[in-house]
Amino acid sequence: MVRSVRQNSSTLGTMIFILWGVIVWFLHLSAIYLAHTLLCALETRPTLIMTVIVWATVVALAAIAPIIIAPQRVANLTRLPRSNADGHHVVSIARFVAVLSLVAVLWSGATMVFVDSCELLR
Amino acid sequence: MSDTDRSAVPNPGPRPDGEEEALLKIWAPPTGWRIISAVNNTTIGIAYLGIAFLFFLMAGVLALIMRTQLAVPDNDLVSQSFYNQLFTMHGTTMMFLFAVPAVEALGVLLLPQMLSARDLPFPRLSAFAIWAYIIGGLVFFSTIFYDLAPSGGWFMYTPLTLKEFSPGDNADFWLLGIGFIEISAIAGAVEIVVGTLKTKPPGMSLAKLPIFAWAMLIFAAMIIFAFPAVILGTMLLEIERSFGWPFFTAAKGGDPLLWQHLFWFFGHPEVYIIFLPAAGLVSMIVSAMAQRPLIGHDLIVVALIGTGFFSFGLWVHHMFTTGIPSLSLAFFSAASMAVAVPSGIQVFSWIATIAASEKRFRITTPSLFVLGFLFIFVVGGLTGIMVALVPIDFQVHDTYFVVAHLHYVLIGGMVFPLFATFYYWTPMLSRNMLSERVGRWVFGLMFVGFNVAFFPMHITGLAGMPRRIWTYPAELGWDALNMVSTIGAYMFAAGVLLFTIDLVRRFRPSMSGPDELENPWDAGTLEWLPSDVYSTRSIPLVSSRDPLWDQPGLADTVRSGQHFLPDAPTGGRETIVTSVIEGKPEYLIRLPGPGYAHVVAAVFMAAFFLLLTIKAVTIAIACGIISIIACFVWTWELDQQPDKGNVDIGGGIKVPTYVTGPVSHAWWAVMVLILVAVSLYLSFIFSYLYLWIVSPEVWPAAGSADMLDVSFSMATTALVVAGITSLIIAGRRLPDPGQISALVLVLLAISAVCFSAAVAVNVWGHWQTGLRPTDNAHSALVYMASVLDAQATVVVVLLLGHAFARHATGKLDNFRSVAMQNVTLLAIYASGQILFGLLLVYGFPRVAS
Repeated sequence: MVRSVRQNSSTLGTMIFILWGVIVWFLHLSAIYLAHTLLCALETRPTLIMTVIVWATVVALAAIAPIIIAPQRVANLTRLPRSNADGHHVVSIARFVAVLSLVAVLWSGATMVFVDSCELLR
Repeated sequence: MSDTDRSAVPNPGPRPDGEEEALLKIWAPPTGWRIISAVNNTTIGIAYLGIAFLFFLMAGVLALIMRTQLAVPDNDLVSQSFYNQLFTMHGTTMMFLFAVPAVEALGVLLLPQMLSARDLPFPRLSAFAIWAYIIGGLVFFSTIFYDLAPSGGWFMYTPLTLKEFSPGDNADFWLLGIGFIEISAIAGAVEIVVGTLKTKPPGMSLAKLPIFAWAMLIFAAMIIFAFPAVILGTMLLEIERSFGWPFFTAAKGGDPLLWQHLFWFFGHPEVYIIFLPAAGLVSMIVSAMAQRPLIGHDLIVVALIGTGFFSFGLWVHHMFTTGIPSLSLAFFSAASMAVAVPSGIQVFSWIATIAASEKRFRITTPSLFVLGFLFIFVVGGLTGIMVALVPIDFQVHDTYFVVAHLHYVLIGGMVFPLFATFYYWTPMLSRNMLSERVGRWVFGLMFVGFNVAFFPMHITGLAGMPRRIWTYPAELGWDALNMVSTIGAYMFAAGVLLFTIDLVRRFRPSMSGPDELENPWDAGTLEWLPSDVYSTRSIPLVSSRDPLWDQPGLADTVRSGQHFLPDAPTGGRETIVTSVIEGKPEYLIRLPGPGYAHVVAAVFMAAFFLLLTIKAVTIAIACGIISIIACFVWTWELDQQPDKGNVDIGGGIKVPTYVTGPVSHAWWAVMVLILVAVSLYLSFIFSYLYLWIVSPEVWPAAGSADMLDVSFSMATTALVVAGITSLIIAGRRLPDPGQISALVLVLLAISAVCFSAAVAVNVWGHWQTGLRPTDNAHSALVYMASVLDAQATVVVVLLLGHAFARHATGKLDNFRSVAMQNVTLLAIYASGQILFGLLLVYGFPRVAS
C-alpha cells in the first residue's frame, strides 16, 4: 500500500499544453466582448474600444505563437518524452489546435475593421 | 514497438482452474426484481439507452400530432394552449430526456468495453444518475396528460415564463424537473471524465485513446462547463416565480435578456454536446467499414477540441435580434463561422477514409446511416453558416427556416449516427444482430421521410411562416408545403416503427453471444474482444490505436487470461487505474457491487424536486432528508478497509489497492465537481455584472445608507478562516489506524459550526442593513450570493458530519483518509467562493460607484 504514486508527465501541464490555443481564444473572446459591452454602456469613444480590441488581439496572438513556432520547447515544460511517438502526437495535436485558434482570434479581432462598434442594427 | 514486443503477454502460461468462474460469480448482475440494484455498466447502460429511446418515441408522437395539426390550414385538431404544450414538451423531451441521456448512456455502455475496463470507476453514481433520470423524466413527461405541461417553449424565455404571464405550476415543472435531470447529467459527466482518463488499459496513452473516448471526454467536459449556466438560470427563475426576487423584471432593475444569456450559454454548446459523441461514433464506424485507420486521426482530435471550445463562443448568435451592439454581434458571427472549420475537418477526414478504404467501402445498414448523416449534416451545417450571418438571421429569425436548420443539424448530427450505432454495436450486446434487410428499409424510410418533412420547411420559412404557430389561414400559401412536410414526418415515423419492431423481435441482451458475433465487422478496437459480464477475461496490454488489427492473436491471449488482471486478487469487483498521459498501471480500484442505497437516494431526490414543484414543502423536505441519509449509507461502504496491500496484476507489476491524492479517482471526481461549482459561480458573477451594466441605478451609490456594512463581512471572513483552519489541522492530526482522536472530532465539529455561522452572519448582516431580496435586482443578487454560499456550505457540513462519523467509528485515520481528502478539497473551494462573494457584494458597489 502506498499513499500516492508519482506520475511521469505532468497531467495538468499536458492538458494545458494541448488546450492552450483554445484557452487563449476563449479568454480573448471574453475579454473583447465584455470590454466592448462595458465601454458601449459607458458611451466611450469608439477609438478607445478599437484600441482595446487591437491590444487584446495582439496579446492573444503573441500567447498562441510559441506553440506554433516551437511546440517541442513548450512541450518540454510538461515533461513530455521527446522521442516517444505518443509525445509527437500530443505535440502535433497541440500545434494544430493553436493554428485553429490563431485563425479564430484573428477572425474575431478583424471584425472591428468592418463594423461600427456600438451601433444597433435594428 | 517491435513485433516481439507486440506478441509479448504479461501473464503467459495456463491460468489456474476456477479463475474465470470466480470472475463470473463476482460480476454476475442480480436477477429478477433485484435487477433494480444492478450497477454493471452493461445492465444499466442498456436500461439507460432503452428509456432514452422510449422518450424519443414519445416525443416523436408529439411531433406527429403537431404535424397533423399543421397539415391543413385553419385546423382545430388540438387547441392553441395544448399545441403550446406540445411543442414545449417535444423540444424539451428531445433535448433533455432523449439526446443528452442517450449519448451518456452510450458512454456508460461502450466506454468500459472500448477501454477494456471491468466497469466505470463509480458504478453506483452511474446507476444513481440513471434512476434519477428515469423517475424524474417519466413524471415530467406525464404532465402532458393532465394539462400541467409547460408551454413556454423549450427555452422558456422570460418574461413569458414569469408568474405574471405563466401562472400555475406548468413552468415550475420545467424548471425543477429539468434542473433535477441536469444534476443527473452532471453526475454522468463526472463518471465519464474520470472513467475515460483513469480506467484505460495499460499501454493506452492519451495518443492511443479511441476517437469515441476523446469525443466523450470533450462531451463530458462541455457538460461540466455548460450545464451550470442553465442550472443557475433555472434557480433564478424559480426563485423569482416563487419568492419574487426580481432577476428578470425590468421594472426593478432585472432584465429578461439575462435568461437568454444563461440559457444559450448552455443551449448552444448543447448542440455540440449532442453532436460530438455522435461524430465519435461515426469515426469508429467509418474506420471499421473502410478496414483502415482514420485518415487524419490527430486532426479529428483537433477538430473535436476546437468544436468543443468554439461552441462556447456562439451563444449570442441565438440573440442577434435582441438589440446587442453591432460589433458584439460580429464577434459571435465570426465565431459561428469559425466553428465550421473543425466540423469541416471531420467531414473531409471521413470522406477521405471512405475513399481510401482498404477494399471496397462496405455498404451495410450502419454505413447507410453514416452516409445519410453526412448528407443531412452537411446541409444543416451550410444553413448554419447562413444563419450565422447577421443580416440573414434578421430575416429568418423565428421562422420555419430555423426549424428546418436545427432539425437537419440535430437529426442529421445525432439521430442518424445513433441508428448507425444501434445496428453496428448490437452484436456486442445481443445474441442476435438486427436484420440487415429490414435495416435498409428503415434507413430508406427515415432518410427519404426526413428530407420530405424538413427540406420544404426552408421554403415555408422563407415564405414567412413563423415558428410555434398553432394554425394558419389558407390564403398565405403555406398549405401545400405543410402537407408535404406532414407526409414526410409520417414516412420518417414509419421507419422508426419498423426499427422498433425489429428491435423487439431480435434484441436479446447478452454479453456472451455466439462466436460469429464476436467481431462481425472485423473492427480494430477493444470493445470487439471476447467478453462476458466481467468485460474481458484479462485486460490487454495495448500498443496501438487499433489493437485488434495491429496485435495478432490479441483476442485469444485476452480470452485465455494472459494479459493483466485475469483474476480478482482482492476477491471483489475491481479494475486497473492507469496514468492519464502514458497509460501506466497505477493502482487497483475496488468497485462496489449491487446495492439499494443509491436507488433510494435517486427516488427520494426525485420526489423532493417534484413535490417542491407542487409546493408540498413539508413532505418534500422529508423526502430530501431520506435522500441524504441514503447517500450517507451509499458512500459509507465506498471507502473500504485498506487491508489488501499491493497485488500482482501480471507482468511482474504490483500495484496498491488504496491510494489518496492526485492519483486517486476520488480526488479527480471531487476536482471535477469543483469545476462544476466554479462554472456555476462564474455564471452568477456574469449575472451580477450584466445586471449592473443594464441597471446601475439600483446599485447603492457611494455614501448611501444601502451600502452593506463591512463589519459583517469581516466577521464572516473570520469564521470562514477559522472553519478551514480547523479542518486543515484536523487533517494533519489524524492518528494512526485503529486510534480515535478527540481533538480531531472537536476540530471537525468546530469547522462545521464556523462554516454554518459564516453564512448565517452574512445573511443577517444583509438583513440588518435593511436590504430585502424583493427590493430590486441588486438586493436579489446579494441574497443569491448567500444562497450559493449556503449551498456549498451545506455540502461541506454534511461531509464534515460524514468524516466525523467515520473517525468516531475508526474508519478515518492518517492512512485511510479519502473522506478527509474530499471534504478538505470542497471546503477549500467553498471558502474561496464565500470570500470572493464578500469581495463582490461588499467591494464592487464601492468601486463601481
